[in-house]
Amino acid sequence: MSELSSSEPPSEPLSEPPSEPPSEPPSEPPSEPPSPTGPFVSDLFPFPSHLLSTQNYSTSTSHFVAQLNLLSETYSSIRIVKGDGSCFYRSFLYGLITILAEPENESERLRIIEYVQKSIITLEEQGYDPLIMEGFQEELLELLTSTIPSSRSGSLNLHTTLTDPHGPSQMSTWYCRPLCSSYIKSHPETFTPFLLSYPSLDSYCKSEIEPSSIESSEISIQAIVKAFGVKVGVEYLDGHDEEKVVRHVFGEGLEINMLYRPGHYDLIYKK
Amino acid sequence: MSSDPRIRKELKECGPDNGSGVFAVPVGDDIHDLRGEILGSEDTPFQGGIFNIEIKVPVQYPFEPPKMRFITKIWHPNISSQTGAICLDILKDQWSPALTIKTALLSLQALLCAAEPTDPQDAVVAEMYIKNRVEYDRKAKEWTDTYANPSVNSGKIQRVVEMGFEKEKAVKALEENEWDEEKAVNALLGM
Repeated sequence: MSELSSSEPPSEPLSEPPSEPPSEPPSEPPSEPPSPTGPFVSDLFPFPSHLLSTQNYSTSTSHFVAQLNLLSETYSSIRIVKGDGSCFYRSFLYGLITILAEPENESERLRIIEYVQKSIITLEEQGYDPLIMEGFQEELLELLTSTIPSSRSGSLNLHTTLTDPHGPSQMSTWYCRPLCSSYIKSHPETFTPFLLSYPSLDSYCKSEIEPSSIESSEISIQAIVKAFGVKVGVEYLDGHDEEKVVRHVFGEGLEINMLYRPGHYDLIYKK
Repeated sequence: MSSDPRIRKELKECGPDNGSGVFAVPVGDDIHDLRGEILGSEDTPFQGGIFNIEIKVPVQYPFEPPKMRFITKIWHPNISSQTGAICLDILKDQWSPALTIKTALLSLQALLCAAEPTDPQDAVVAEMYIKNRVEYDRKAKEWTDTYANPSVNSGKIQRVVEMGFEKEKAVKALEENEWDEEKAVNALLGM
């Protein structure tokens, strides 16, 4: 079980300067990232057979195959997420909305609607233009308040809406970034030690969180799970150890699982 | 996803006389084709100048940055003295959908106050900026007065007209002679 082989305690709060990335750059060639022109989120594919058949894992990448087989004890399916710099945020949003669509998570859906409704006030206090941010907030609220109920009643297909390039998911996905920034700026005591060379949390967020092409970091992941009050489990397919897959757990609450291949996140689902 | 509602929303906020020293308006009916204007800040060689900016808003806006270029000629290390192309991070990889056309124009205005010669768009200008700041300031001011200051230019036009030339011809001659009155008059006299 990959969870048993975890080298990190779950939900570890940020307490020390940036932990090393969970794996050093792989000594073996990483798998190919998905095309930046593909769908936002693919259909559900069997795991790990889909990756084994689409990635050219050779004998030189045997550790990847061994790790995939270890993960197959826990996970049975995967959705491939577009590789355009927003794969983490896209995986997060898709995972979140589909979980909140399950009727047993109704109280969590209502809690998160309230959080998103109030978010614009905090963003305005932090200097964001509310007229501009409202456009993004409205799209995320539409997903939470209209799309989810419509999908439950069967009048709308959730996957189709979430993957429609002209639908609300593009703007909602990006809105996760200022929400992430907002949490970071509201918790300076937690995040200031991670500023690297930036003079302020504000400039850090402007450069490292908000541009659409900038990939997520452990800092942004820590912030977003806390902001929404959910849990993200990441399995690191790094090809380093054929007997172990490192799993990091961020936050607490409803659980979204992701597979990390060097530089890219996809969604994975437990059996 | 159409970018039009967002652009319309922005245009309401950044029309003429919004008090910020910058504005943008559509050139014609197409709201993806805008013309911006920046006032040069006081205590800079660009003081008194009005700089026109070409703004092309892509269909993918705000997920892609607006494309901006100086139409008015300007002498600045981060702006091409030939094409008006701009080297500014927020118009490239540091663009974020939280930014707007107005904030981008304000960033351009700030760039005029604080050049970054180590990351130049125009190597010749940058070299002058670093090696001979006095000459740079002089030339930047000269270009501002020549190309960006309507009152300076209109004064020149009026003086040439008063010498008995038609206004249209006076403007053309001044433009062709880089707003040098004497050369323009000589050209008009066929000298």
